[in-house]
Amino acid sequence: MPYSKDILELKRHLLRAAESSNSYFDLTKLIVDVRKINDSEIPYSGLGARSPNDYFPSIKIIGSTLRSKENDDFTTYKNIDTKFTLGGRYSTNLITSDVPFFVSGMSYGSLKLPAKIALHLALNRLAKEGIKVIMNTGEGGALPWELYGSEESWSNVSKKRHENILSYADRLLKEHHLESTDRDSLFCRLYPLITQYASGRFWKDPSYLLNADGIEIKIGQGAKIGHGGLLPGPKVTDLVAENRGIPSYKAAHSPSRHLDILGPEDLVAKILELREITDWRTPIIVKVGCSRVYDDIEIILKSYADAASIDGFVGGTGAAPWELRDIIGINTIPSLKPAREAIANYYSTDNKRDEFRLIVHGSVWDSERIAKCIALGANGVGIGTGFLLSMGCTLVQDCYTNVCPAGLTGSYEKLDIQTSVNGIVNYVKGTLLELKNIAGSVGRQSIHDLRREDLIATDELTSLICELPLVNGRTFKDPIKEMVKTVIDNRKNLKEHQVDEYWRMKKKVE
Amino acid sequence: MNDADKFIIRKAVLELAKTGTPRFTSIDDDVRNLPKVNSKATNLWDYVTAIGAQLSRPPYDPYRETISLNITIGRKKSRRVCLNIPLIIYGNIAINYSSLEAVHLALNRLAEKGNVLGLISEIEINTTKDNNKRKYPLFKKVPFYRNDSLDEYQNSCPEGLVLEYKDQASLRMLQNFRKEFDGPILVDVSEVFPLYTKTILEEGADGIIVDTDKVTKNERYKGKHAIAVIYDARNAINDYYKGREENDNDDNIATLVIAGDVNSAGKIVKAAAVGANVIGYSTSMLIARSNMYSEKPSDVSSIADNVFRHMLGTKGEIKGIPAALGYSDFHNLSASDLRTSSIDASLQGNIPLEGGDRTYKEMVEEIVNEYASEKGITLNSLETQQVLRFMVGE
Repeated sequence: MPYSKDILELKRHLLRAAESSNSYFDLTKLIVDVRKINDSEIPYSGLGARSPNDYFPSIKIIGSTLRSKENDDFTTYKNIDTKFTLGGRYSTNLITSDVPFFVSGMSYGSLKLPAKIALHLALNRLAKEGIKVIMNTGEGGALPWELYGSEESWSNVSKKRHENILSYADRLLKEHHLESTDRDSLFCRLYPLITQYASGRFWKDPSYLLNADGIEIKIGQGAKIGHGGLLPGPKVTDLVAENRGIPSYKAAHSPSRHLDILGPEDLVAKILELREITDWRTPIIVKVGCSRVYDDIEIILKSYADAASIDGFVGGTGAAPWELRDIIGINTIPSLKPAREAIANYYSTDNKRDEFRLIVHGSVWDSERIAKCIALGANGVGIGTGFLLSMGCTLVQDCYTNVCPAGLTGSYEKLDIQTSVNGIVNYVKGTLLELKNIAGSVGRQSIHDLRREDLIATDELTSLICELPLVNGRTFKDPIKEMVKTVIDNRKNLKEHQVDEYWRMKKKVE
Repeated sequence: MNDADKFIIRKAVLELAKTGTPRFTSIDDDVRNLPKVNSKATNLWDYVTAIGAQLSRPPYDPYRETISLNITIGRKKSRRVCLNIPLIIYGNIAINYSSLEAVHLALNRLAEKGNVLGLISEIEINTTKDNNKRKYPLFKKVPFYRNDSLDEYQNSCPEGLVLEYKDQASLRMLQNFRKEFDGPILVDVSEVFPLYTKTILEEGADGIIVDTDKVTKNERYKGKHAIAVIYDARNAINDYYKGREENDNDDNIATLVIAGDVNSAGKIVKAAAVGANVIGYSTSMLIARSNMYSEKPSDVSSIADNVFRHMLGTKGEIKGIPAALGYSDFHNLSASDLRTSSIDASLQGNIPLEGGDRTYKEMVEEIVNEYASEKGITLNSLETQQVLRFMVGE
């Protein structure tokens, strides 16, 4: 954010005071203090938290390669299956995607219209080329062409409503100087759409639920677990407000919890209500931030949901209180084990565990990270920041303001839609090829066949948390077992007064 | 993610977005190969996070529901001080009189708005003017070895006293003051910690102050982090109360005030979860002091405004975090609400590792017992301790 001169001066003075005092002061958080001095408000930030250890670099896929052979046509492993299906546990419909990753929830309002249009057009282009990618609307409602992108979706719409929808679309395009956009290509959706049912209920009519291919009940998200959604006032323009059904230019604070979902039984009631509305057709996902993962997944499993979605604390957001974002939640990788355990325990009596899908989000940007998540038990992966990066995001993390150097979350004049579309298309295609190469090079027919056995850990903690062997082939348990053996040997061979000395020496040697 | 990670991730994704063809190396390979230049700068606090409330425990809403931050200091009902924010402005930073006056003004303004927090100060503040009367609790700091009569320190009518513990003379001072002073007495034990805590509490201190910056410079805590200091300090207070439940005449448990490396809302919450009751907060002093470096120094009232606004923002943050963890009271936080992605932090603060609810030590212990029973071996407690000591370095 381009801070005012006053703020920068305050920062400079505070820095000098901190440096000259002998007490410890966290200089990385200096700007947080300065912002509080400036306006007494809670400072916000965008994107994900800074995790000093997200475990991903400490895991290796044995023998994998992103690029199968130098200078080849990149299609060595073209027959590897990368399809991802969602639903079928209780829903009659299935959502099918050609890639095991999809666009995480990024709402209109949090993203500017050109970025949303770029995503829409890119996914349409990919679908035409045979690569269907699922898109999640985020909690801020859906855009007209997302909801009414098929002929079927218009069938129950009155003439008056039809006109209103088109008029709103015209006003949207006009505000962003995009009047020349071809309406026919815009009002055409070829990819599966998941709409988010969040505590803010930012949608105005049932078409939001009825025209979606899937519904995601958002209990929380990784970046602000237990806090509720947030769109700062300056980003709530008239058209964003109209889309959400809220007052303009006033911060939209969603409640931290669904007012009608306070416990497991309420979740069951809510899902059954949505099932009735959608005639049991639409797959329903429940999304939680990673915290008490085992307990949360256990509740979701018993609640008529088709899938659970967990979001690690590095997962991005448009706006979150800075401190809260950085201290609440756990990383994505350690969440996978309790999640899989909860699923395995629930399905211990039958073999239907594959019908329940586990989706993970947070700190996943490329094919190798996707593959690691899948090998550790995820069925699908949600990506947000990766798609923003492919559109030119510079990671300055000022998404909570109306100023974005890349023109994605603010300053819409700067975003070139066509370049962004190309970026997204290339990102998806490249990632898909890399995924095929990874699965193929470790001898798997499908990306979903990747297993824990394909991974090794490069440090003790990762080995312990993920139950993976270390690089030297040993597990974390081995040295402990050896210690126990030594203790027993000492019992026979050493006298009592020699034991302490033995351990001291051994430790010194180690 | 740090700046180096950001660079790698952006570069890698942009390469994909530009070419649409597979890369030679993944993001993780590049991150793994980064020289660990940042590791020294990383604070162990960064490896500790709290677990938020979701389905299994609904969160509170800090914008729409009341979140209590109230705390009382003082073991006896008759000598209590109540704070609405669990912070005492702690002056381990040298400031001039006008800076202190600004803090005083800010605390008064905060108290007028119902946000009472304390101040520990050695310097007297002139409060003779009507509009300058103190509206917040003052903890008068008594300099070491100035064993004068209590009257000298009561001129400013402090609600509490702070004594610095250095040796037996300090103990005598505490004994004398305890007889005469009715308000809470806090004893700064930073220089001798972890010794004498029990004795100090037995002599009637209402709480102890531990400055993690000072303690971690002691030989005994060399290489350890503030987390270990807070954990030990909490255990020291708990040890004092062990076996005393029946004969205990206290109305309130002794207060643990933690100062030092606890200067952001996140760290305040983590410190409270590890065991702190009140935080000795120095950032307000730092803000007041920063005016000294300005080319055009502001007047006292403007500096006070800065401190006031900063504290309101901090209060908002401190309220929001317990709410997101599913608590309506800040003081219900405990170490079980924390998780860590560092073995070191787990060992120093007995904090469970991410992905489960067991600490590193408990996990090692479990593997030892599992293996022993698998082999039909029975380890006595001494032998178990030997393995643990070796594995966890105790």
